[in-house]
Amino acid sequence: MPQKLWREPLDAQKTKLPKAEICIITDLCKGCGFCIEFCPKNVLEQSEQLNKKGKHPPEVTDESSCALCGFCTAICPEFAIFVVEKKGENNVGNEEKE
Amino acid sequence: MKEADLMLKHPLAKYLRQERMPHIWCEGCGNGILLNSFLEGLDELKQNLDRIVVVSGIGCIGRAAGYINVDSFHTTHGRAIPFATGVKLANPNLKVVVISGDGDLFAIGGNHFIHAARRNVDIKVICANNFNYGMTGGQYGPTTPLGSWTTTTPYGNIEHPFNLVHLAAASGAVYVARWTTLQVRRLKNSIKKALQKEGFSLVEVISPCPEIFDRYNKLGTAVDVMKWFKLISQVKHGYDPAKAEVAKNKIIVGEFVDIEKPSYGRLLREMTANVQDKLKGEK
Amino acid sequence: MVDRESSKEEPRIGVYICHCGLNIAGTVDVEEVTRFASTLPNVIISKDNRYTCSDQGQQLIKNDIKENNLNRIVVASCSPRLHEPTFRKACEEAGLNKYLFEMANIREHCSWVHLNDKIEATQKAKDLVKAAVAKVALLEPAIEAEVPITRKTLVIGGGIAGIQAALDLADTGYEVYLVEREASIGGRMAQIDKTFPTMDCSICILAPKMSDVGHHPNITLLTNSEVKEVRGYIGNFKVKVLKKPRYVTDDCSACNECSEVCPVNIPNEFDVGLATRRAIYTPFAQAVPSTYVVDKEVCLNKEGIMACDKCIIACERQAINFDMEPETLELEVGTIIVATGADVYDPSALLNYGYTRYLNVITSLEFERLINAGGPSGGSLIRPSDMKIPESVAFIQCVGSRSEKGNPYCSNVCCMNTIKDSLLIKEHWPRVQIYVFYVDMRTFGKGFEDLYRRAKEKGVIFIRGLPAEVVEERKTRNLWLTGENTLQNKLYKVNVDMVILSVGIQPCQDSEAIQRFFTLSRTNDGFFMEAHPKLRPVDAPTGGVFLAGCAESPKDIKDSVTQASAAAARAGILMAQGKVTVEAITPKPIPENCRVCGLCAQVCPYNAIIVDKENKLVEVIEAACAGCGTCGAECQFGALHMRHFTDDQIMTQIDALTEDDASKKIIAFCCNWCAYAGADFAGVSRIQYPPNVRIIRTMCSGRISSKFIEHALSRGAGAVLVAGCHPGDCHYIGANYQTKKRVERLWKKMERLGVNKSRLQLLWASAAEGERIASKINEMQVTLKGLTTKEVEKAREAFSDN
Repeated sequence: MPQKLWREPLDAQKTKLPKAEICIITDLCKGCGFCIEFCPKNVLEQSEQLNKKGKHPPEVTDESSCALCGFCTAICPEFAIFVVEKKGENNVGNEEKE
Repeated sequence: MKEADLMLKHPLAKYLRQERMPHIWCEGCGNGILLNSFLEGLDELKQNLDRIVVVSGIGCIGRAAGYINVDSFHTTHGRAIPFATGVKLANPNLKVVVISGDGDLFAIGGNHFIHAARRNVDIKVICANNFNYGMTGGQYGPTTPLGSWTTTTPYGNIEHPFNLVHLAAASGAVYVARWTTLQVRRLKNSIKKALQKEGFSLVEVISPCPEIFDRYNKLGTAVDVMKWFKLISQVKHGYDPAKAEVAKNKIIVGEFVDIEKPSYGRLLREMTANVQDKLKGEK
Repeated sequence: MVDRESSKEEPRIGVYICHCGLNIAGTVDVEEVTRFASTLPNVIISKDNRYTCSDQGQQLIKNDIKENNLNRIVVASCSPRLHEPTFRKACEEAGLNKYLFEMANIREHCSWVHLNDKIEATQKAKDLVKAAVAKVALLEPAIEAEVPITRKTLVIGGGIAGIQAALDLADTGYEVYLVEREASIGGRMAQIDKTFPTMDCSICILAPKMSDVGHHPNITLLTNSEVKEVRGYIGNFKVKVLKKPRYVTDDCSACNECSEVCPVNIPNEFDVGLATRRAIYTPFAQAVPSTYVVDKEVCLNKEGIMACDKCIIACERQAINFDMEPETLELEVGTIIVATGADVYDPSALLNYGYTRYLNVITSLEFERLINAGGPSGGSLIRPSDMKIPESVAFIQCVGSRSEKGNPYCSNVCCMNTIKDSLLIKEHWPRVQIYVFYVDMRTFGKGFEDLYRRAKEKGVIFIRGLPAEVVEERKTRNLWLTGENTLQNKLYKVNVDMVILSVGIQPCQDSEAIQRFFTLSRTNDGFFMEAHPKLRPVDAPTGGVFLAGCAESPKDIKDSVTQASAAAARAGILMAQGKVTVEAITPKPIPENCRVCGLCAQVCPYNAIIVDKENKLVEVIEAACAGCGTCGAECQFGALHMRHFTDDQIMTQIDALTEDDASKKIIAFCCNWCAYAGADFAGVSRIQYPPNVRIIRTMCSGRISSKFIEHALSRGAGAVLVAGCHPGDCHYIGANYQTKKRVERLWKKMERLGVNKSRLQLLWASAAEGERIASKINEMQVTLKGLTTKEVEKAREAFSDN
């Protein structure tokens, strides 16, 4: 079925995907860069700031695109980044086709 | 939120001895990822932490025993497995995990490894393989690839390395797997599987050593090495461990052995019970 | 039946000139041709006949063979592509080897295309009979080799046509492989809500058939799979099928837990983008197989990294495996049914209708999903802009059909589809005002007219005249349609809440690839061509391949099912016989002449020639040879005997046709599958062209050696036309590339020798391009008119050593 799908789906507003909160403990980061490189949604990039270790920790570019996959949490050797579900907000919205 | 408080909010915070954090491993070191996967595995299995014992040897990865919030031993060079055997035999209710490095487990500790595997002692060995002796400055070891530069092979290594999964399988291990530090989820699953399986298990973890081995051999930054893992890893479950090689252009990963065999401890207890019954009966 | 040892005897030829009612006799003076034929060398009997192909006609021939000891037969009638097998069978039944028979095409190539040139047509018929008699005298008897047929079928496409064909063949007892590109079978029919004219629920009647396919012991269902390579020939196809990984094993119980936790949410194709799905999903609720599938394109786990394992954790049956690899299966089948189905026309190109610009302009396929109870709106016909039920809707017919902007053909189903849709709307929301803007309402089938009447009775307004423009009203998002009501001769301007474009049907996107695999022909519109539009409507020109469903042309479900059962029956005939004979037109090596240069093996598209340079042996693998003849044309040493199309047999035809008035004639060499068939099509379509062309048939244009062309020119022929399939469409894979090279070399030679190059023309035409061939012949008249006697003589001399 090769048609271009251009519409916003009718149930786009109804689908509830959990919202993410990305927590970065900047002073623990040793700047290895794994989380930035391997995030499947590319929501992290290297910050201009320096932390206490003299490294550039990651910063979040687009928290709303985070899929809560948890890969950054799993791959960080320093336990310096983790992602949790944002509780309490109206969790509405959908991902856009990549 | 203050950073110290944020550290405690990390989902795995309770598994770490917070007073000893942050750990001393280098930037991009695979040991941190191994630790992360191991703790994630414990968390998913919802293990009773009082039942877990971690035994480590000497090497960078040897420090892991100090960071994990369970009863743990940091033992002498090459002797993690004998210690672990002792722990398991003394208290069979404990799950004993050996976390050590390639040099510790297979050079000086080689003989202990093959016999523990042969006896099928119920311990789970997680080996961090960074292809050299990292802690002591980067000397060559039993897994150093042919031709690599190390401080004790400045003209290139002339020794062929072990194929660790082949060694473990041939020695009689019941569960053998290899993953790189990039395949964190599958590594975690293998660790979970090993924890739940009775018998001798080996999970080999191919790790970057960014400051020493990777730098000496011009493999690039830690991210470069991880990207290289991505490129050359091939998942081949059930592959013949003898053919599952680690080479410059290919790393075969996967679960290679998954069999059932009664463990040393079980057979010991059964035999003991039989003999005691016999003796009782004769009286 | 005793085959007569007829090659060493003197030829005793019987010639039969057919009237074909008035089809031939109305233009050609058949009595004169009969008289003429009796004067030709070796002709013992020359008769004319009203309908030679009838029982009586055939009986006449058979009787004559027996009573007069005839050992060669010529029938001058229609195209050999139609009745050569019929007459060959008649010869066999009379005890004559079927290869001692030749036809002269005096209908499609003569009487039908020169309706107003009776004298010239008669002269042409005489020439064609002369050539046929000359060739038949040199024909040799042959025994056909037998090849076994594998009793297995491959059905490509899992829509209703593929499903029906698979079930019919599987129920007969044959093993069937059903290959479907998508993750589930069902095709278009699964997307439709109700079917006309009975208003049955589409998925309700489809799902049991899908389920049967899934459970049938004789059907191997390969979904998420594609055909990658096809080799072999009728009865012995070897097909490579790539089974793409689903990443979900058969342990899947379709519980949907995985989908619920998947973080990737995108528009889904089944609902035409009106609803969402996750990266791990099932195409629709009744999918067969019901196993879920992972869309690796959008899943977060790319390039071997498992970043997200939410579905794996959620799956209780542990059925998700991201390490699954694609599998290539090698299937051996005897017959193949192509049922690849249809796509719909994309109306975004029609800017005046505003599709994709205006939210409330939807296509008929989107309508089906909206009104479907299992669809994105639960069966409510809601406007995309405000999700309200419209108070008025308009259907615009023929969108992308019957027009120069879209496709020129009629898509068959849209009129009935709209009538059905309008009745559905009236059923649920009786007060909705419905307009249908049409060009013609085509309600030709059983029960169709009745449904049309019911729609009109319910108050649907039919207006003849498509809107010129659809314009949106900004605030309400309603649409203004302006156009002419051609029955009332008035302009209209109508305001509706929603517009539904009745989009046409197109061949599916894969049709080009499928065409190459099976060397099928496609019409200009892209649908697959059948072997004969009336008598062999489900056979593809390639032996052993059959067509069913919308792959062949747009049609509704009933016709797709009918055609599928027909294709299954046809495939069944072949497989029931268990063997098929190979036509005896393959070459035989002549070792004495062979220099073992290896050129023949090099140009063979089927690798059917093995050249052993060491032992100086050349072997032809008869079963793999398709009979194109390219090897024969390449051989400079006469070391291949091209059975049934020998050099001598072709030369004698050239001689016969250039005996009289050669300089006024075009000698045309046409390949059986495209050019000759195209000329037949011109005849069938009664396209008229000048009568001074004489066609010589070869199986492939690759057979046409330079020496044939040179010989024709040395005999004083005015011009020569070499015609074959379009490059890339050659029935013998790529043999026509050799033709091209040869003609180009010959052009250079003609230039060197001072002969006018335009006297040799090269034409690529398909079996559907009768017009194109007729145009070329018209074009070449200019060259002929300007031809001087001096030029003709010059060419005669230059090529005279041929």
